[in-house]
Amino acid sequence: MTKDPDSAALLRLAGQGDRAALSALYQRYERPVYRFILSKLNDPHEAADILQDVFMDVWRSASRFEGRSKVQTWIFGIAWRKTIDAHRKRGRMATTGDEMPDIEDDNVNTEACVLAGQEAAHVHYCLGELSEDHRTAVRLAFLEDMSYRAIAEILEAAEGTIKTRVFHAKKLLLRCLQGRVQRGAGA
Amino acid sequence: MTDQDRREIEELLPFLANGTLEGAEKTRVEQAVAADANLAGELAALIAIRATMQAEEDTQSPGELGHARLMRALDKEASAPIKGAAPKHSRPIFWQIAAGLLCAALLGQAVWNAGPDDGDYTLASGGEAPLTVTFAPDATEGQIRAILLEAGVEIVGGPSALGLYELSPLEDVELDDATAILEEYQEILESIERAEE
Repeated sequence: MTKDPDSAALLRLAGQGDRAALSALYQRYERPVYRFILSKLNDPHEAADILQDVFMDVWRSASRFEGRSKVQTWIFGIAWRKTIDAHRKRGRMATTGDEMPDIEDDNVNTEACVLAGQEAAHVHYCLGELSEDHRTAVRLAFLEDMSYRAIAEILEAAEGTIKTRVFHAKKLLLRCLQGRVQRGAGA
Repeated sequence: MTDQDRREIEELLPFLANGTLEGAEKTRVEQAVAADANLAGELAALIAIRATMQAEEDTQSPGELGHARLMRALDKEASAPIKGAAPKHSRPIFWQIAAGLLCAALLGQAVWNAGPDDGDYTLASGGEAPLTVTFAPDATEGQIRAILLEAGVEIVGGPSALGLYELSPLEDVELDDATAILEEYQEILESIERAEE
């Protein structure tokens, strides 16, 4: 193993039964994958169980990875499917689709949005106001720095759907942040 | 810029903010931002939101505990019989089980031909086998054979009039191990009972 092998090389080694390679992949992706699962389930114990299942699947399926996507995308895709299964078992498939609430179509005050965007409390509040689908897309884009193609692959949606979803989420987020500043809401 | 162009630029703006746009798309959005103060302001706001989200992220993940748990699970899986792999037995197991199935089929036919009068609940072997099972009505012969192979057991009696089969572990197979494997297939095996020791 090289000093800092890329994820695809680690996955290849894991597919050959190299546990150290799986450990390295775990160290690399455990935290973002866990917070992705947790953001959907809001149950740390269940999220930890699913995280374990995800990496067991990575171990068992590594040899079948064809390299058509990034390793990160592949692992997040496994996590997404397992999380959705857990949702279904709970009878909690409350997806909201991509509808956009009616809002005035004027431009937002971007200066106010920049100010509010620097305040964690405002950002946290406004993310909480988003639908689950919108919040998931924004978290993947801004927390995990994923491309719209990767997000589309993970969420098993069309690229256009993801661009539209993030566009709507962004509009709502900016409008919420502007409202927080205008109302003088405490940060 | 048409409304459609502007919409496309706005859709891509978050991905310029997170640095994932490439090539012509990136150039196109950057040029649009340079020519439009509103787009530039929106981009600044998105960059601020992203920075705040990343700075504030403090999820406590399972970390090393989760890693240790994963390694234990790998150990456990490595020590368990591999699904689909034939266990190492001294006898040619496929034919052994095929013979068992054939025997069971013949026994079943015998029970059927004998009519309902002798349809009691005893098994052809006399009920002394360590395991008694019933298979789901829709289980196929292929499914049953695969499970018996994996568990390392053979049919030694049955079916009874109630569809009970008796199973016995092959040489070198522990009854507990075989039972544990069979219990994983509740969709195929409707019941599993161990004889009293």
